[in-house]
Amino acid sequence: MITSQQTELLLELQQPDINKPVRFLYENYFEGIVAQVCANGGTREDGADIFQEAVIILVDKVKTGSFRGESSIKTFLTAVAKNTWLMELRTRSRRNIREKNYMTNAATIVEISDRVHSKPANDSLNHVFAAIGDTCKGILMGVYYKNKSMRDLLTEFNYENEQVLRNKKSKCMKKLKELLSTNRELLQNLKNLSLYE
Amino acid sequence: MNDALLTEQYLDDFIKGNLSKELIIKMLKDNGLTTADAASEIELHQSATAAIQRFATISQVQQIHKDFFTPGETIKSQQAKTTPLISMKTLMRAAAVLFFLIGGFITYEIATISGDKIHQDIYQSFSLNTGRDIKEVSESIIIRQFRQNNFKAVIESYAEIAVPGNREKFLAGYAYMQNNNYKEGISLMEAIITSNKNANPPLYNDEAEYYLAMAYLKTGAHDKAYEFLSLIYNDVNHTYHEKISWSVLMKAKWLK
Repeated sequence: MITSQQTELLLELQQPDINKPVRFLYENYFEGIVAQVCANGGTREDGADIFQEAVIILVDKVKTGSFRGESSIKTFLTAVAKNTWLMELRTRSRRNIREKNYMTNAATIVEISDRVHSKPANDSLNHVFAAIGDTCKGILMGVYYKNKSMRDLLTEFNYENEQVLRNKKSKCMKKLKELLSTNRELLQNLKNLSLYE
Repeated sequence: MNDALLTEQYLDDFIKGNLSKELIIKMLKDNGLTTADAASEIELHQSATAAIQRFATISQVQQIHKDFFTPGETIKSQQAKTTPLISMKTLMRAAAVLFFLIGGFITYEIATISGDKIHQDIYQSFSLNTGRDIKEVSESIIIRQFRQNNFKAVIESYAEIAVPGNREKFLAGYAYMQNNNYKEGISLMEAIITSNKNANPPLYNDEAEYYLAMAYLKTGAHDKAYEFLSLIYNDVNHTYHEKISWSVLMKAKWLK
């Protein structure tokens, strides 16, 4: 059952600024998930990575409207973390009895076909955005993530007029597309993703 | 608006849901693109938008993540989270208190040390049954009197013995000491030690040395007491070696 607190949390996660709800998730569920991974053959660092991935998946699902609220956030994060950790174990070719028991006991609520938010995938994305520069990052995030108007961005980035800003935005998008085109794996991952509502 | 900007405007309208896929393809074709190119443009634009949106989410989550975990935290967090049972300040206080307690104890020990006190701490009464095999000791009158703790009678009997041996000398010397006549007691114990110099085996030598040390402690002859206590302490085979510890020897030394 989704409590009113969780409903509020989901609403906050739909906003561009997700600092507050994400901090709440870390404060309340981080240690539990890390302990769960540690109890199943992982290190604390593994647990932290898995939790981060689970949170990104949750935020992603909320923002794309695919988090249906059939389970509580805690249950969702736990299930995602379990599945993600199993995939990580497979990747590391460390199948053993402990893993089998773990998989048998895990309530598979979420099926993850591919780890588009794995640490290497995120690093790859960070790399691309580091290459386009802070101004381009700011403009593109303003347009495509924060849904800001050109007028707002014009004030924020102090351009002469809207046309100059549009040109800049177009150049930034072109640069981004070029960089993505050179990273086939990343591009393939992105093709599978839905856009935020 | 140039073609590139116009194309991008169409693509933005499409991803915002303002244009259908068919319509945008048609518009892109009108703008000079083939159907395949138009589809590729749409797909790439969607991917780029998805990348921007994911990056925005990831960068915010990663920022908060840093507050909760930093690589190599395992050791650092243990150090940080392990609250020491005793803080350094408390430890220093405890050390200071311990220092003063030990210092106070030593000062007290030095201030209150006396021959009597050492004597009281290490004195062991003599018993014929425990000191010697009873079969070796003939049941003479003096022995019977000694067993009965009748020390006055022991001294009287000793005076009647024409040629006393070390055993009789020791029993009489011990009896004198029990009657607080340390001068006579010391004299007899020293006589035993002197006679043992050429004797093989020496008889009652260990006993004489030990009770001499006790007598010297009682009479304030601390130099001599220390001499015998030191002798007993350094001889691991001495009958009374276990009675003299290092601290006893140090206390006796302070008295000198």
